Amino acid sequence: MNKISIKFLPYGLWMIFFTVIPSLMIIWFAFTNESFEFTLENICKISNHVEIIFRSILFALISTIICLIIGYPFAYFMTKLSKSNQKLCLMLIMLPMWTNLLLRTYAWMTLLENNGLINNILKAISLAPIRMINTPYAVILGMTYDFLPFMIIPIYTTISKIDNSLIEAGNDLGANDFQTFRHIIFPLSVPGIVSGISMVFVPATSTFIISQLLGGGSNVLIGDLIESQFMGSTYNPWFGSAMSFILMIIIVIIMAITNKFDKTETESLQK
Amino acid sequence: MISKLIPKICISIILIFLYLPIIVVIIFAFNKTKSRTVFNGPTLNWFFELFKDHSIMTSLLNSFILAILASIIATIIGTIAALQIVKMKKSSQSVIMSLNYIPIINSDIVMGISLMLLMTFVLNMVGGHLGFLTVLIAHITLCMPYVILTIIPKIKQTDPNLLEAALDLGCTPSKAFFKIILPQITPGIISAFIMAFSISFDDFAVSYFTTGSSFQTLPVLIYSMARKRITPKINALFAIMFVLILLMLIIMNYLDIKSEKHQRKNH
Amino acid sequence: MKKLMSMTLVLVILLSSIFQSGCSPKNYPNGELKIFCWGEYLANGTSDSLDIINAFEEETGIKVSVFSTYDSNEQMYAKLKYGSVDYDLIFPSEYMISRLIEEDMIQKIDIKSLKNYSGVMKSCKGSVSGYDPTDEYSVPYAWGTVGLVYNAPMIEKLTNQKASDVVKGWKSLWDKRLEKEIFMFINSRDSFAIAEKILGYSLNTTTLDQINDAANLLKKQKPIVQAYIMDQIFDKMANNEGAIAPAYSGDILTMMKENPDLEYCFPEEGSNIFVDGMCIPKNSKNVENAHKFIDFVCRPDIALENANFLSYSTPIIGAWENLDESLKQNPIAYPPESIIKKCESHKYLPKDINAKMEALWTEIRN
Repeated sequence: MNKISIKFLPYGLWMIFFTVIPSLMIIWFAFTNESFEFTLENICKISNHVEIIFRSILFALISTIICLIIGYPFAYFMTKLSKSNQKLCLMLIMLPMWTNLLLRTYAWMTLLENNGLINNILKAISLAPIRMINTPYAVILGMTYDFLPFMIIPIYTTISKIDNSLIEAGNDLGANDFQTFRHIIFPLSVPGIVSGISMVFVPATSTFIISQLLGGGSNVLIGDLIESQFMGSTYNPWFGSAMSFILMIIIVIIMAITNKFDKTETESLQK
Repeated sequence: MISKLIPKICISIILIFLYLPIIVVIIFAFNKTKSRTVFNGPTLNWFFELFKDHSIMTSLLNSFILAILASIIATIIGTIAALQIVKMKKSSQSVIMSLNYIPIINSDIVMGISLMLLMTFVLNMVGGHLGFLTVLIAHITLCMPYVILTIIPKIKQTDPNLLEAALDLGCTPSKAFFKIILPQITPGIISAFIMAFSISFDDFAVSYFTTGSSFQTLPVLIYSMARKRITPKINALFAIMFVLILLMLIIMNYLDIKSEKHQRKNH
Repeated sequence: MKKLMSMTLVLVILLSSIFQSGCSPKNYPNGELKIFCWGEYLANGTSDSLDIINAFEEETGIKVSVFSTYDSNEQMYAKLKYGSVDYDLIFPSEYMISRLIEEDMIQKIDIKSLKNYSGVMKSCKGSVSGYDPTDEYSVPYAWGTVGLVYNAPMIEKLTNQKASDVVKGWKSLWDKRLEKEIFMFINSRDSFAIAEKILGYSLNTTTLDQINDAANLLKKQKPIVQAYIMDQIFDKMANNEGAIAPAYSGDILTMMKENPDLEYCFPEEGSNIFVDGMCIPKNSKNVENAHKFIDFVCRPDIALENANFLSYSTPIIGAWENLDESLKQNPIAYPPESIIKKCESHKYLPKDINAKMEALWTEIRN
């Protein structure tokens, strides 16, 4: 036992110092003021920004749902490809994740602007240009684009791991394609969906790059608000910490809900 | 016939969606003027300019060294810990695993500011400045949970009988570890390392909050540029990096296929 | 596996040595200097300008080891306030200088040691406009005014009127015909100043009623604003992404060079005049080198090069005298006395007023 603890120590201490203590510091800052006295002022101030919180959750939810709607069929169809094509496809999905997110988002700005590439093409085929940049839609598009691979990969992994004999058994018992999908593949892919949802939702609620570049400063999200308290126009780390605290709570709640969904699905399958 | 086409069309459309911005970035690396929207004719000028640009090259090197160091340290500490975690009781395992989830669940911005609060607090007491070391610590913290999550399943897959057999045959525990366990979990370690590297290399938010005056990573530099205008030099850098990553993935894929064939022959 | 690891390690060491030998072939015997400056606010060698940092390094043997940029006074303030950075030279605007003095975050400059200080215009000094009453904490670096920049053909197309008849003052930013073609500042102070000028208030007002009035006016404007931005304005106006925007005079000149359709208007309601100074933070470790840099930038020939690059107005008499006639006579860069009289400078507002403004601003943009 002693040996275990010594080898485990670097990691354990590291996690305590750089994960637990910093998280506690956020909570500490959230409940104090400039002279480090206890106060509820920061938490009360949050009520002025309910709209921002609501918007962040809404945008993140919409983009998560879109990611799921696009990502699930994609992942499912991927498993139908030949082995080598699957590998190629997976590589193509992972490749954008390795490239810089800021630049890819910036590229969307180039595409969406009033005189951007898409509008130039529309004009060239004599269609009316559409206003896209600096709208909520642009922000949601940016989120969907940036985080789509995070949805596809876990779903693909779970579906491709499903035992083929299960599907064959279903077919032998007379299930058609849709029935096999509904009763075997979909329930078994739920863990993938759940981790996909959390991997998209968490970065989407907290982003501030996407809204800054594509939202035109008027689609303020929680991330923007937090960033501006720490690094931007307002210097108020105490209120910024309170907002971060709320963000942490939102994420924990979402994770709890998805996890619960995961469990009930798998349990119902086991019955 | 149609039912076979639909998946392929679906996949192609989404791949086009994913690659459209990337292609745009790369095309405009070859643009004669600074314009982001009008292509005025091809040139290689921006590539030469890129190599002359001191700040871009320094921050690229910074990012690279940082990612290598952070991922090596995170992989080593994480692997050692993971080997111990699997031996623990179920209850302590679940405590550690939920602790391990905190950095993953915490969005990068919350992690960045929480580490910044801690570091500035400590630094203001002992003196010192935000810089390379603080960013390195933050990146190790960022990568370690993913290392643990990648390696633990691999360790659980190893065959405990093999280890026992080796020990029964008079192998010392350390020798048994290097001869039996390590080779079995090496693929897991490699993929953990690669994952840690890519997380660290691409990270913006955590470095943004924990960096000081003297150390700038590439994403932080790009961010400060994106708030003004991005020079086509960055497009050129993106193009080069994209090609390098593509080559690397192709090589990895090739090696993978080769080793699979090799295994099949041996069986 | 081991081979792979050792190979990458060798590669790293090799790469870093190449970079190090490639990047710093010269020796810098006289220490280093860490500068924290606005974006594109120092001649850097592009578009035929002098690379001031290079010139400084060569002349003095001091290495400028850090050159980071910020895009608002508040961002710079936040970084300094955390106390874990060690810059030697910053470029705050006048109201931020007052704040930094009050909060004891910058140190006194040894003015006597600056050979070129005598060439600084009196009108720009802190003792004249009051931001630095004793002139001990700052040396003026550049000044300018806030004005309107607009895209004449676009405005004519949208309103069917001559652009110069449409754009007369800040009110044009509320013109419904220009819907979604308007940009605004993203920082609260500059945006409130615009609304306050329209209402005829001082831009340093601390009366809550007046601030609320300004906020209401800004709220009315929000639906027709395309975006709240800062430095992205260069790119956006150059690419005809919008028809009208408020901007700093130096930036307007730069934009007009890039896009010939752009024109300038000094708002009839009056505007803001600003001075950015050079200051040395309290915890600077290279105070002497910072002095050398300040003196270097104040030297007329260097200031001239810088003024040509920046298009911001130079406070150095010797540089102004030798400017190109076209720039020297340019009413955007060096406005006549009648216009300067209509301008007011920002003063540091009490903390609670600042906080109030910031809260209102977040609410407005929401």
